[in-house]
Amino acid sequence: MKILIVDDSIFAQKNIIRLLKEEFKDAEIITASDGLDGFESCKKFKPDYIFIDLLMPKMNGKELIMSIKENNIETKIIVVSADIQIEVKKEIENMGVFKFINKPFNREKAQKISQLMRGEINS
Amino acid sequence: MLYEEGDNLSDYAINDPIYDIFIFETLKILDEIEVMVLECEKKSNFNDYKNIITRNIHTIKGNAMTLDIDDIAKLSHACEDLVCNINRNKVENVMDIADIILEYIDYLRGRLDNLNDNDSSEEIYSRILIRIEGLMKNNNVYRRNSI
Repeated sequence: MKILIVDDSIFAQKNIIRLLKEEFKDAEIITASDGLDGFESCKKFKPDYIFIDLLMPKMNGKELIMSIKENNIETKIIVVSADIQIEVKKEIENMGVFKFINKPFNREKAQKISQLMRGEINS
Repeated sequence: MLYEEGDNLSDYAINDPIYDIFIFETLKILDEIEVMVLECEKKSNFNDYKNIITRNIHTIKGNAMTLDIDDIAKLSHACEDLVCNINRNKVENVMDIADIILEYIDYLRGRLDNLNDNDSSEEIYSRILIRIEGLMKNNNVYRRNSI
């Protein structure tokens, strides 16, 4: 499985990698630190799943999702963000994302999203 | 204790190297915020930096939540609220806002110096929160629900 993590925080990247590696030991995971870099990485790496933070420099998470959709890049989008306004959350969910996860991204959430990614449970 | 008594609720042991990453990155972000706030003070407005400051404080909040460092998470949430409302032109007291953010920066630097001890900083934490709430109330702005 190929996973791309796009988050401007190194700490957040490391946290998500560590918890996902517990679930997907053989996964190939790469990172990007802003939306623009994330978009380029997405085109080249062609991840099965992309984890996206919303507040990022250069290109924010919402813009990145729009770019992925507009360019018909086939990847499942998982948004990981700290509390945001309900309207923004609804808007993002309506953009066809696979799942929206509220930070903190912890082991419990990592286990649940992994089950979803493996198709063991439905959302 | 500032909050509930209890063990660390994060997924990481307190001696896990990921704490070093958190401290390193947070200190770097605080330095960046400080430079921007001082610049805002000079210009008497937050126009150029309000979005970046909001994003940076939001990052600190999210990371502190991951490590279950409640006081940093909650204070960051309050500061983010404050700066968010500059975005909406509801809070305009530039010098007061700048002063509060600088106090928030000092508080966090102190806490990061000794993450195991939040007892000694309880008074400062409460004072900053009260200042934020007071300033917002004076401007008829109400805080979002706490995290």
